[in-house]
Amino acid sequence: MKARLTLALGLLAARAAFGADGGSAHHGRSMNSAQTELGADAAFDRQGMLWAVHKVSGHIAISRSEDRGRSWENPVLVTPGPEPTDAGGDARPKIALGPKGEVYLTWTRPLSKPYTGEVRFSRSLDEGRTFSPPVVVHRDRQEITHRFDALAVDEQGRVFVAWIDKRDAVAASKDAPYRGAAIYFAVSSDRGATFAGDFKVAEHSCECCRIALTRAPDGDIVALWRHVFEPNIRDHALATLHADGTVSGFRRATFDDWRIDVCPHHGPGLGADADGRLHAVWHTGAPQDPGVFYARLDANGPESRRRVGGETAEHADLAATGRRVGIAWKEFDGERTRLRGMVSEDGGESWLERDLSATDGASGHPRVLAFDGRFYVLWNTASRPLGVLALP
Amino acid sequence: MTTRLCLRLCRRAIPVVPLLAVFFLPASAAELLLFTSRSFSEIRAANEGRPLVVSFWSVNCEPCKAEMAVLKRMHRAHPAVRVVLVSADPPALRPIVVRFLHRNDLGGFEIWQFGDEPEERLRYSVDRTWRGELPRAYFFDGKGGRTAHSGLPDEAWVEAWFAQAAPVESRTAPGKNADARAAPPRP
Repeated sequence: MKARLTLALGLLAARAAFGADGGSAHHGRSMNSAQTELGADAAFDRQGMLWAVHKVSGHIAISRSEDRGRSWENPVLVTPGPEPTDAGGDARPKIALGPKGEVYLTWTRPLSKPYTGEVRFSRSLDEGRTFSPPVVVHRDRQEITHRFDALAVDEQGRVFVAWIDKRDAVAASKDAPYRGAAIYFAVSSDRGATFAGDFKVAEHSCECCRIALTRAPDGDIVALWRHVFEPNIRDHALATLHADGTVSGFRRATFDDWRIDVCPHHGPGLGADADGRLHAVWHTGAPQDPGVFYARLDANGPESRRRVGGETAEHADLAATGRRVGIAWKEFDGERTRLRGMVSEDGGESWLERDLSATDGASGHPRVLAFDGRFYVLWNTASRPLGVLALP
Repeated sequence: MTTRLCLRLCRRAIPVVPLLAVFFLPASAAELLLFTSRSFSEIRAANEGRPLVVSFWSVNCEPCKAEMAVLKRMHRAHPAVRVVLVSADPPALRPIVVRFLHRNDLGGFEIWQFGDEPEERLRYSVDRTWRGELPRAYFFDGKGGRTAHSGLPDEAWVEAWFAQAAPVESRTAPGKNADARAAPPRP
């Protein structure tokens, strides 16, 4: 009882301290207090309809656009009530579309203990009119980290959900501290009615960076994530996930040698071109050469590696279509957050860079999409919700 | 909308809280301050000429907790060093930050939390090269020296830094003190 009262008073006191100070904080700009609610994702269906998942008044919601994001239909609420979603810097709800018009969604709901969460899933089989009640994807129900969900659909329409999981870290002996967390996944072969899992991808991932999933031309689902190589090197690893729960081709993908015990909150982007070559964009804080980088992830190591953007470049994303590769990222210039992009027509050998947009308010991380050989960037900002920019 | 609601609640809360807070609250929770794009310069100006550590952390960052424990221990041994903690969590996480502060006694530290401005603007106001990784700490020795550090720093380095920034004359043998004054290597 006393503990509860103390906590309640603490909340009030904190509000008081913020309220008293708050008026002087804005420099006359209109700022969105709900920066964490700007995490959004989008996908094109086969007919070119653009589907976005985002937060609306605390609900998970979807919106549709017939004109490549210039205008959006009224959103459909997915969750019956407002539902908190993970506010980790790299977290956002995810959307993927099935071959028969299925709409699949995942997001992470934080639990009461710090660093904990559960990965939730909902689907629509009636073209987005109604959504199933959210279910938890993983079988493990400990109140621990199951966060940073990633979602993809393979060629046969099977639904893959991957996430960062701390069950192995929790089970580890206190005398031998566990390096980082682990990546797990689950697969649904019945359009999201049930999931088989939990399957382990790899142990010793970083704890707080999003996972990138992409579908290779051969139909396989490939994952790229920030790993913790011994002793504490936070570079990236790559593996292919199979519907039977097996994993192949685990290998180190980036070699920046960032040795650190840190939460970068900065996950990679991944795309596969028509030839099956993998293209990636990632951030490293390695002191000798920090920044955002692009490379083709060939079997022999990163090829055509190059820096993306300037000193303040961050939160880049990538897509590939045919031989084209598109990248978008944010860059703060001291006044405004700029959205910049670059495109390669030759599989990552040469690039053309351009400015796409800017905002002086809060913004989510950009998401690069490809449709019909062209790139589009979803950039959800406080001033322009669900903004979509063409990346020529 | 959220701001308006908060202001309404705050107006109601202000007359009640200070009285009760004295009895029930650790100082840290009552003094959670709003971090704006001017705060870093203000914190530095307010501590001009004295050793200062500004540590950025988050309730979603496990290594941050380890850094906090180190800073707590160091501060106890070297109270002349001012330690300021800034939660880089967005305002929506305020209740979780407060709960964290209740569970972890951080008396003696000044504690701030990121306000409503875009996160990248707040980070830029601190250091344009900081990409948001946590923990991120700045060590100012009060004589113009500044060291920025990402990730959990080496404890021996932190110890040497505190010893150099604020030597504890009465407890340290002269010879040992002289050693500690040697410039510490980077963390």
